[in-house]
Amino acid sequence: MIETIYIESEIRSHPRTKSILSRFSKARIVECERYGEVFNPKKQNFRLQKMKPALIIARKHRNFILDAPEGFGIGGRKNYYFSHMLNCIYDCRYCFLQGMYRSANYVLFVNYEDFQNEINNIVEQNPDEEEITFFSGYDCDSLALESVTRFVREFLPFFQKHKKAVLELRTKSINVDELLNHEVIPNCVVAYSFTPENISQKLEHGVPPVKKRIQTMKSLAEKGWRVGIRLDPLIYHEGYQKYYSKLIQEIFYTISVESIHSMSTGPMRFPEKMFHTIERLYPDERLFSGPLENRNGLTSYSEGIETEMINFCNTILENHLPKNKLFSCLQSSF
Amino acid sequence: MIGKINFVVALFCEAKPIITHFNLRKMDSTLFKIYSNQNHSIWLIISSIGSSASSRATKHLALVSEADMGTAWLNIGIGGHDNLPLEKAILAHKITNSSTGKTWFPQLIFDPPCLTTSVKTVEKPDFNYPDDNVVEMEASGFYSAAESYSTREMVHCMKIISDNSQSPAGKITAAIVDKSISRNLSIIKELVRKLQFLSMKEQERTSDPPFLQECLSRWHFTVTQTHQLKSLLRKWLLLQPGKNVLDVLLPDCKDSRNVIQTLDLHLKNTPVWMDHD
Repeated sequence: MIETIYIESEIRSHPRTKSILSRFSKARIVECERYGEVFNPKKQNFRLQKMKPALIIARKHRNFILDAPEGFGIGGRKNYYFSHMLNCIYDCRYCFLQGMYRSANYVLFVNYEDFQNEINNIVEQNPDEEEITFFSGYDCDSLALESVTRFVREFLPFFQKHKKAVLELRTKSINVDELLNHEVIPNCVVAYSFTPENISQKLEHGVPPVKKRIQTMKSLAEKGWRVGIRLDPLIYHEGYQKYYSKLIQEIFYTISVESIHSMSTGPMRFPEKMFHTIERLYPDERLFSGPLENRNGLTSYSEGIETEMINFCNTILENHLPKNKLFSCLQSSF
Repeated sequence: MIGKINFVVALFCEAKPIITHFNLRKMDSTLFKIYSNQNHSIWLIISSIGSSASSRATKHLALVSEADMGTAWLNIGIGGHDNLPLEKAILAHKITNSSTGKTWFPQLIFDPPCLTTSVKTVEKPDFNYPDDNVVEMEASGFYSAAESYSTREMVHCMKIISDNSQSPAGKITAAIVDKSISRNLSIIKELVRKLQFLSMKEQERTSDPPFLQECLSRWHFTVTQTHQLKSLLRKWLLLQPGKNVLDVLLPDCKDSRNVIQTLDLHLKNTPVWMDHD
């Protein structure tokens, strides 16, 4: 799967680097000084790199934990996100990462302890009992590359000790052995993103089928994990009502309501410049031919369409879930 | 669509087997010797030795061949290494300019047809073969120039080992170089096929949508309007595949503004079926 691994010279001997390399004995190893030398240069083609992404093993030096963008949340007042990894093994055409980064290579920051120390500091600086949510799947899929990163294996015990800190693992992966084999921790939400099957087949390249994701969520829920459901982004298309209804019905037919921590909907929005980058990369993509417009620096469906879709989904969702578990993620910055 | 590839080679003895194999013919040119095939999908320039010369030649070839983002670039030449066997072909996965320390990382998004290594570009011949690098004299100049015209997935350097600690560079002759390159032609051909495929994919992505030329010849569009028109015609192709926009929608349009407005309005009201092809 991964044939080339770039490593910052500084962390060549880091135990996690060594552990990863031991699992990729045939990979081509290329040393660099800083990951930005490989990841940031302008003259790169994200679409072509998606054909065979490389892994870049790096150390993160600052900004371990960031404030979550406005509108990004699942009920808590204090929301942060952190990215142990940049980029994703899946290739979803609506994903903002393809317009955010010039490279499709996966960057993995192996100094997990620095992320954990920062989380610890934030938790200690907030002595009240209010929960603080930490989102881990913003710049990557939290679980999809677990066999390489061991992220869940290393972070679950940490969050187990910090009960006030809620960890959201956001994913489309069915690779959940690590969770199934671990004692359930109540301050962890495993959130699955969905679009209806017809959309998923067209736009979510390399992603496990909707049915399999729902089944995986069911096994996690049965084990006792709290699960989240993210209908984000909502994709407008002819007959969307039928497809989203079917998806929601299927989810609630399979998953018990009690195990659902939260359900959120969110419109498809991109900063204008980012949208143009993505559109240039994929001019053959029907998704971008939809009724999109520019509003307040964002490219999105019209306000009318956004509201119509969110209301439509929420009306159905309210039949299944109490209102305090429903959220709209109206992200206005990236 | 045919993929486009530009070779940059320092010496004629390195270029000769490539010129012969790809049936390239000499073009009229005063600054550098330039060769191309019949349909101009393959070009080759002889740069002479050195990083600066390679950079200049690359820029010149970009101009002459009308290179665009869909053009692949390949530098082929000889290099030395401490212990790699003579005539071994390698593809660079890292290029370092030994004078400036600047580095480039060609992106290997295909299965390389040969070993890959780091390459160090030096100003003067260096027979110490430092740091497990292949040492040579053109790659960094070539790479820095070529990546201005393309992207790192489509710009590559292949080196054939001409000398090592057991066989010093003093023994190299034009005939030996010719033979070394010739013996690696099958690897070069495979690499060319892969780069042509990438080039083709990029040309498809960046190509003009159908009906653009017909529209441009029928009405006058400003530069900004031409961009808008391209975008709208691409959407037309996706939402109304197989339909002739000129016959179906635009027969009564009087000017470019009218064309853009008509297309825009029509496409905004066209349902988007995501599950139909």
